[in-house]
Amino acid sequence: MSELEETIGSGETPTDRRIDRRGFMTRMAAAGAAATAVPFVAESVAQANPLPLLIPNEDIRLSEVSDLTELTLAQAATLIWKYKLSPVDLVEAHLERIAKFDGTYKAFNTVLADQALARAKTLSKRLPQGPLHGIPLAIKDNYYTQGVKTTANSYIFENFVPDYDATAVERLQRRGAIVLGKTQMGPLATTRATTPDGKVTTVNAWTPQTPSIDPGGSSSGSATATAGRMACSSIGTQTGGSITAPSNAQGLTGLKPTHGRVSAYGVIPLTYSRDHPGPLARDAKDAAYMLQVMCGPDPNDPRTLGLPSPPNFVTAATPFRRGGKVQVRYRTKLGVLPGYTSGTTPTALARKAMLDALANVGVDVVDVTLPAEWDVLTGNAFNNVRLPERTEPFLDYMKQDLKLFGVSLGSWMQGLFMSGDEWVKGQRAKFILLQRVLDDLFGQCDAVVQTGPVPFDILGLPELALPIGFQPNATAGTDIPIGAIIGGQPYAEDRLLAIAAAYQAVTDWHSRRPADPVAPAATLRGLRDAAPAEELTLSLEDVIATTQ
Amino acid sequence: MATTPAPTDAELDTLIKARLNLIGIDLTQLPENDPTAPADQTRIMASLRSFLRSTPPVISNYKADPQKAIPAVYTAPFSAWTEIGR
Repeated sequence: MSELEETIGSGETPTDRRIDRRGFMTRMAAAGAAATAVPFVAESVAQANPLPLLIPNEDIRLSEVSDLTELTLAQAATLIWKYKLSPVDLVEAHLERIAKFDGTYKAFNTVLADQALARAKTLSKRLPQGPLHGIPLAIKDNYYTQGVKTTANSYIFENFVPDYDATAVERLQRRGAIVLGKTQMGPLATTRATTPDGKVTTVNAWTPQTPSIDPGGSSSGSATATAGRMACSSIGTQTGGSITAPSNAQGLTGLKPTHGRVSAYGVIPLTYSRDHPGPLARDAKDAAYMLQVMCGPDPNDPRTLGLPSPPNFVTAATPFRRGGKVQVRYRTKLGVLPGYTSGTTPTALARKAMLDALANVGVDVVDVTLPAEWDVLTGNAFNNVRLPERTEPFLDYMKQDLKLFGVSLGSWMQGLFMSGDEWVKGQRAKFILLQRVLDDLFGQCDAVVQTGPVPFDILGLPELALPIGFQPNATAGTDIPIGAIIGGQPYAEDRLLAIAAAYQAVTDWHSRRPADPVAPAATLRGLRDAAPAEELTLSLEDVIATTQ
Repeated sequence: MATTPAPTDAELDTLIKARLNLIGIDLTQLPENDPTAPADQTRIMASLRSFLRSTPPVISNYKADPQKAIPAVYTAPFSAWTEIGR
């Protein structure tokens, strides 16, 4: 497809068309023949990435709003910028829900009520200067927060108080965001949220009385806080599926950016080469605002340097219309993997409906084939290549006391039993997989549906999770969300957001809201220790089987 | 290529314990066999035996051309770092 053809949709060019995919393939072939690596060509990154002019401007009137917590981030920001809504009122509304319902949800392990309210009062006296001015957010507890405990739900960090903010947190606050609290997570970001010894904490906002229904891990608390309308939006991290899984489980739009798009400086590491910070949001537009603020080069994280400049994600996530009809912003071939819609399960039917809806907004839905050796290169053994990376920075703690790792110990121990040559082979396999995905898979399409997050997570490629329906759950006696994941080429978050925005302009799954818990426990104290409706504990084996 | 015998549980246990001792990790910090504990020696040993039998052989037996497949730790950034004319 030519550049001219590519720009037919809105006349704009998405990021993946400004990157020479085939050039990469050619250069790598040449590099292999010469048995030498091509020198890195890095952009100048001395200056921080400037934020595009972002003045929130949604079609929303305060008189139409009966519950401030129902406002999306973009809507709330619009009203704040128009001086129709005070950050104080917005923060108070969310704190009220936390006080009323988080005894049941257990989304937070620290609530910063006084601090958040004080900041809201300060911001309410200032002119809005950032797009997130006065927006209350929930922060996963593996992001450093200055002066606030950062535990990663682990014994290791149970008393850790950082003296600086993670870059992502600092950027969000610099653009006006208010931190409401720190959220529950799988210990050290391994599984669904539990205490360090495995007792389940956070519940799915759609099934608060049934803790056995997975809220998705490990960013469980961030997802429940957002779905339960206890924060406008939230941030999590993904090392295997921890943004996409909780987003899918709770009807949210989660964006795992390309590796390096968002700095991981000040994030407690799980796997250096696969830790991805990103937003869990109500819809594509909200995710775009969050990513826009979080992204960009950070001298403290070399993984973020020398990468394509971030485009305007908010524009990408703004539905594009031609003749009044929604149309996907960028002409897009969406690849469908073999078997993706097979069967008659609710998930299969929802997937078919999603593809139909996307076709109706101009997405070219095409069947694609998987690259050679897909199963082995994305399978459990090669996925395990990540494990030595989690072991290495924690070795001193392992020597000190293995019990510090609680129920999560298994994969840290396993990381000690991969040899150096196997680890190097694993990195070669990642290169082979990258070549085949870029050349074979993306030779057939621009973006591709995923049946699971791991393959693109291995490669650090962007993934966007979005809700596409509901299905009955017999255990909970209610319907729970069905989600989909769409994967893209390196740094093509704009294309993924454009696809999601077009889909969400013609569907309403993303705007469904879970019912409030029936029997709330009204306390901000002891959230972490309060007993759940039914006691549930993950075992060592559970954690090993599901760890990301 | 020679066929090597599959190691027994006892042989793997010796390997595991020797490796842990070499780097100073004391497995006896954990209870020996306590299903109510978050982790114990018995379950950790079982998990490590399973890991050793399943993961290293698959990786070790995979054939990758060292001239064509260079090790790439940070894969997606690598694809951008090697771009020219962007």
